Amino acid sequence: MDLKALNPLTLDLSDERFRVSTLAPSGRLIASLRDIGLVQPPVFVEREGKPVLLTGWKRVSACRRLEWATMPAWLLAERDDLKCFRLALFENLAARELTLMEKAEAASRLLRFGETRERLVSEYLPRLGFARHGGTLEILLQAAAMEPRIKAAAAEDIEDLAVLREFVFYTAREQDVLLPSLRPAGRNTQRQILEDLREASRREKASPSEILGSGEIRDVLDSPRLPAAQKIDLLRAALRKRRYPSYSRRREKFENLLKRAGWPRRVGVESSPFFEDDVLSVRFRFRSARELLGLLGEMGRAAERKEFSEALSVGEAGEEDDVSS
Amino acid sequence: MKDPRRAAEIIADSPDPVGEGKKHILLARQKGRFVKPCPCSPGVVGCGYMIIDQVRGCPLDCSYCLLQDYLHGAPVTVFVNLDGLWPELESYARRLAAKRKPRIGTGEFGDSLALDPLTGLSADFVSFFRRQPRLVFELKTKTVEIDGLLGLDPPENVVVSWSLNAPSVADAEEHGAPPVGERLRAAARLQRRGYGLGFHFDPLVDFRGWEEEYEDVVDRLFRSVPAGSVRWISLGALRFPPGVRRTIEMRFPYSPLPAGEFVAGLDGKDRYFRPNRVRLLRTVAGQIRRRGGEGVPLYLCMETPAAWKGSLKKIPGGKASLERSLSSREPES
Repeated sequence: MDLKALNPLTLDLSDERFRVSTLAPSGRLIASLRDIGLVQPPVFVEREGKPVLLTGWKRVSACRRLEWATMPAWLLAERDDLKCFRLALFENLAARELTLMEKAEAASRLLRFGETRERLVSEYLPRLGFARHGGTLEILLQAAAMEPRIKAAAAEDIEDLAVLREFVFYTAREQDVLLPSLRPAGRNTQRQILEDLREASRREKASPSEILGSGEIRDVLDSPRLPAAQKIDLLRAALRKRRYPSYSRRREKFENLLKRAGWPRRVGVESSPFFEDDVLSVRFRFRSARELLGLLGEMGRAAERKEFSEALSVGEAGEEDDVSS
Repeated sequence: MKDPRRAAEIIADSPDPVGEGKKHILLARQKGRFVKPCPCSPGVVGCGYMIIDQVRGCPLDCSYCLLQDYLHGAPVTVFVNLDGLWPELESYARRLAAKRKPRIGTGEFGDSLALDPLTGLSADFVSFFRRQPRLVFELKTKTVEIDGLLGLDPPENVVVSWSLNAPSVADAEEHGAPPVGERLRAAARLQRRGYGLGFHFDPLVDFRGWEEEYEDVVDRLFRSVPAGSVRWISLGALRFPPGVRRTIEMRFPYSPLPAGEFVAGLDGKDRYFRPNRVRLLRTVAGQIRRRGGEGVPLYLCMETPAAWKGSLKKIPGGKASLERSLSSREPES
């Protein structure tokens, strides 16, 4: 490699064939360059007579911000794009953990530069922190193929492979609608929203767009006044009802019957998940024997009411549910 | 093809490894045990069934089959070291048959008769189990490959059973399997030779018109064979380990099976919501009882006690009790 002096302000950086990161340089990097200088020069290769940046996008960007007219840069005499990209990738991996979208981009570039799917699965996925699984590779490649605008937004909002696996299932338009709702949510909630939407779509034989554009869900998404956290909760609840209509009806019936039976509100009652069996559990807190006896008395009175017996049998088969899909 | 590694490469490179795997047969040696308990789920009522792991995979391609995920596109594998199988079965019979009359079969990881024209093993199994009257052996199939059995004198402890379904489900989802009517005709031929029969309505599928279609199949069943020849009928609603639904969507994108109100069961499998599932099971059980099967032992496969109670109005008094009622066709205690 030859060390050269290049002008970062006049460099043409439009050839981004080796770029996987869209992260901007941090304030710390800029301050470090200003104070100490560029300790590790970026690396370029020559293509069609012009320098193409291989590694050091943030450093070059920082030099531009500092309006440096000259910066040291390595010029690597390597014609093979795959070899160049591998060098850049491994240099990055040695320095930091790539984000999920950067890993997706890296997988896509490796394939584009001629790496085989088999080697991507067997050699690269473990280095990127994934198990050797063809399905994982496909998710990453689908993510890299998303529209640039969505990729940029997803880069900040989606950090979990399980969420990404659900997200790539949707069309660009649907992803556009979903991203603002996913943004403030934690990864488990993100995954749940995407999964419930997919399942509801499958069950109703309607596209996710149709589901997102209908009734209660559309009202929630379109509401300008709802705080983000409340929007997420309402969206989740609405999607759950669409995914599990029979269960939701039974759940509502269960809660109404308990209320009508006079069940004390301080005592939580939980059925087994999805009423899969007839076991119920209760949860409550008390500070004294008197308080305990009071609660037990309330529970006992409620348990004698017919609404309570009906609540216990909510999980059993009846005629009111439409069995057919 | 003599090199299994070459077959493995072809399968792995295929856009449909599961489907490609079904086009290859691997002859191998079973290095583990042949005889194993049926892989039942936790929290469900078990029936004590034992399986013989001698064939893995199946040339049929039912869209709902759990083996799609379980075997990961492996070729259909036939374990040929039968010199290990018979002594293991004899040892098993000696250990357990004094205390129990267990049912044991070959149709768990594949179809018991699909490869019989190639292997002829059904005759070997019948011959072996003739000498083991304390074991009840089941050949479970969706095919009509019964030629290997027709010429034999059937022992009482050998049962041949068929998986049945609504005709529209069988036609659309059980790729490579003969229509239900042909399966019933094959069952009738074996019954006339003296074989005991079994039937498995599994998976029962929820779709528009299910009630009428299943009733029709039940009706045809009891017009094809006398109820007294039926040793047992099992019922099971459609269920999937997590992940299988995605596989079905990928391999059979037009199949409506993955749609439906599936919830996570206590065993982690995707199952129809319990009231819907119980209604399916209860209705078909009622059809069986009304159409001629009053005395036929009925049981549910891999179901919770709550589902048993809702659909058959009873919960077995334990695995041993259920096993006895099925093996000896005694009334359930």
